[in-house]
Amino acid sequence: MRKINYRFRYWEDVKENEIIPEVKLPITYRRVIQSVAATRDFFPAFFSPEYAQAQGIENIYLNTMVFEGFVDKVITSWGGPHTWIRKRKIRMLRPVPAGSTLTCTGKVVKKYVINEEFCLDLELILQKFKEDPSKTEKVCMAWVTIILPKKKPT
Amino acid sequence: MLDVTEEKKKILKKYEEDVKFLGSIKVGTYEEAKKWVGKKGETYFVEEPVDISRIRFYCEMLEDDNPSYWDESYAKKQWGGLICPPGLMLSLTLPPIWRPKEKSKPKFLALEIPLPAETFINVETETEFFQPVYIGDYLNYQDEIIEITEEKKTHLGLGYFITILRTIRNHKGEIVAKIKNVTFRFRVEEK
Repeated sequence: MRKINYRFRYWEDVKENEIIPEVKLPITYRRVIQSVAATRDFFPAFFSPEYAQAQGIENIYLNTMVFEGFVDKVITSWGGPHTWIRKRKIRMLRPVPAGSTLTCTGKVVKKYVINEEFCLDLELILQKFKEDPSKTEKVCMAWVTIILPKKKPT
Repeated sequence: MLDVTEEKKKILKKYEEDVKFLGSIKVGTYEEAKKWVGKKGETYFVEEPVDISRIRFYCEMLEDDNPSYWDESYAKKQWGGLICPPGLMLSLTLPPIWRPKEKSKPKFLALEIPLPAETFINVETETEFFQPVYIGDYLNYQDEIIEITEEKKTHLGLGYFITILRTIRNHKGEIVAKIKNVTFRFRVEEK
């Protein structure tokens, strides 16, 4: 298997207001259908354009679990695979239909220790755009508390 | 001219069978609905254990290369074994579409609540994770209706926000996650 070099971030390495770099995810028809298969959420709005349109949405769109997984991926790619997602709240503001690109970026809002756990509160914004990446629309907000390990004493 | 709202309602109706795996959408009044606050669903035991294919299909869709889900030796060192991505938690508790023998299926309470609203969309989810879910774990869960708001107007139309708390346990009886989910039950007319 190809060896991937993961970045491991430790609690001491992180500063409040630090930016979590943007990650993009193209929402093609294939990915929307993949998401239905992968999450087993067969609600018709996720596979039938006419159902989505009857709901007032232009096309089949992403379900909750895609937002959650994408947010978690963005965070754990930044913090490293040892990141523990302790709590995650997402608020979906607009549906993300097939044919858009989803982006996610965020920042560290608070760094603290509670019950001997080394916590960080993060705030993330998800946006979508169609052809023009400068014309984005906010689609989802996420507030996440993570635990990162401390460096071992040397 | 064709009534657009009636046309939309007809389309939603056409898919009634496809929605049934989640439950049937019950129509009623807000007064009836209010009586449902505090109600708890039955505990439902997920038939299949958490398996690696589910985890891999989900990561494949998101292109998530976190070795906690892919690399057995890393995952063993870090977590004690390959774990389930936290984003898959809700998915693991979704009811099956079909089984050879009809058993009692869990009901998605947000649909069962009688309300003047024929469709729905999920708007907010807050999940707390207490410990990892491992391959081979059998999960069970119970729902409780926390809140039903009065009628509100959004960009999709008029409807009600329903908050449901789902407590998920593993086969050892330990709570692995609590999901507080807000669903918007709305009707397609009156934008």
